[in-house]
Amino acid sequence: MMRILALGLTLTAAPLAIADSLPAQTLLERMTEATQELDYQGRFLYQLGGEVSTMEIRHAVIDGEQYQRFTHLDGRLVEVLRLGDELVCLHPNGTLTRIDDPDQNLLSFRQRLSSRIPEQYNVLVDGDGRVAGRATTRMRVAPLDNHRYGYRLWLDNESHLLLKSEMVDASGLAMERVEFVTLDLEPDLGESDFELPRVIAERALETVPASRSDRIHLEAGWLPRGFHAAEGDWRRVTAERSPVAAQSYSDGLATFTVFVESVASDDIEEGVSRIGPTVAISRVAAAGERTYLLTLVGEIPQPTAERVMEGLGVEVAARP
Amino acid sequence: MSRNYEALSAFLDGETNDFETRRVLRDLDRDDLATLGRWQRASDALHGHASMAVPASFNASLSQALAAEPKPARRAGMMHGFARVAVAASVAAVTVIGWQYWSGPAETGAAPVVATTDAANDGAAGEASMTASVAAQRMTRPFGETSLVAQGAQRAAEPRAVSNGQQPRVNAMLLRHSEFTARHSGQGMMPYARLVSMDARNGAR
Repeated sequence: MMRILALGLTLTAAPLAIADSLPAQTLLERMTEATQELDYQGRFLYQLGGEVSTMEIRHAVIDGEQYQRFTHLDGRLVEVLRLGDELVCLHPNGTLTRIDDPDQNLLSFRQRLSSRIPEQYNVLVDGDGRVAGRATTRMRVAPLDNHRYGYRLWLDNESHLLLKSEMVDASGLAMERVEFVTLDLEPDLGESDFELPRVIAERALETVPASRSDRIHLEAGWLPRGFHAAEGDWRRVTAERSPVAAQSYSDGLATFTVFVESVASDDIEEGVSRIGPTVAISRVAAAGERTYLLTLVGEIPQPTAERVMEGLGVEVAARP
Repeated sequence: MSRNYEALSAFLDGETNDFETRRVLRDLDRDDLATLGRWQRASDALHGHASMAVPASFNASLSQALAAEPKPARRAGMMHGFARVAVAASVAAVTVIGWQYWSGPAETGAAPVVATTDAANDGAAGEASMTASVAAQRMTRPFGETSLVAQGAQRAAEPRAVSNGQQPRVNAMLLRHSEFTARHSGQGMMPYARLVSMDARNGAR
């Protein structure tokens, strides 16, 4: 009600200004739409701590399928390609890893976002800015507790593409930044722009049949408010390696994934690592007669990740 | 461990060279931090300063310390690609905490602020609440080396050495996590850019 009143007042006071300013939620929806549906090509800076990389992105929708290609332009050549349902990573050593997910639902985030912004965040339109020579609207996504990070977003006024994005910690410190320096909205991309180069070896993260009796189930004793188990799967790199179970959790904006694998007791590595906003924690858990290594990878604060890890339990049960 | 107060003092005065700075940062423990804090308060009182600036060469020294951080042979990390940066992050964390000792309690000359947990953080106890408050107290500063802040200063990045055979496993995890994040988060292209960057780092090792 207050919002309607405030809007009414603003409309009376400044009808011209309100005409081109959209509510935060609408802007976020348009951003997600634009990211997935437009064809574009551009170069951007990716900054993690003191290190800056330059990358190129190409994105096109061809016959209803999304094609996307990220190319690391300086240092080692690394590429990540999304080809419809498949994600391919070209490593600097000339090998390639594929992961496909036919069940993916690209609209899931957009649908969720259009129904509501996660209530653990406060989203507001913050002002104007210029990125890559284009006029942008600046937004702030602030977490309401300290179990997740915040974001600062710069959206292109014309296309609604996200031109600059920062993930910030509780003190407003940017831990990671993406910023376009050039953007072409009419790039004329075809399938040939998404062709894979020759590689020396190829691996796939293949799904393991769900019927196996030693399937691992993960129980989370504690999750930060708003986080839900989103999807789990069981994959292995190659047939001779034992499969690794993965369970992902999301609050709608932040995510983390817990991996569980059976390990020999003399092959254990526990510890904590961080790079920018990404934290990785490993710890050992026993279930039955076997030892398991749990690894959490995600963009959440380390104390939160540690608390999640403490509450995790592994259950190995042959479920019918 | 016998404390090298001379080095600590020189460090506080910004008089250590790069090698010494790196060594001091590496060897700092809780007691050293407390000592630094005491000295700083004494110095403040003596000079009637509200606070003392961080030595001008501080960030430059830190950058070089980070660049010169020993390779993983000695402190290999579990996540490989993460390892070097993780080690660097532990250095940065010590730096930030040290910096807080310099600038934090200056107004009243009181002891360094002890952790209070945000009410919204429903009850992370002990060290976790300490680290949470460290995070809460952190000052905004330009995006640079010190942005790589490890919140668990005293216990970050001390994993055991592991074999190189783990790399494909780590890559696979990052790939799976990124794939999920790109589809289920509002982070735009960030997850893929992050994956590319991490893979490039891994490749550089």
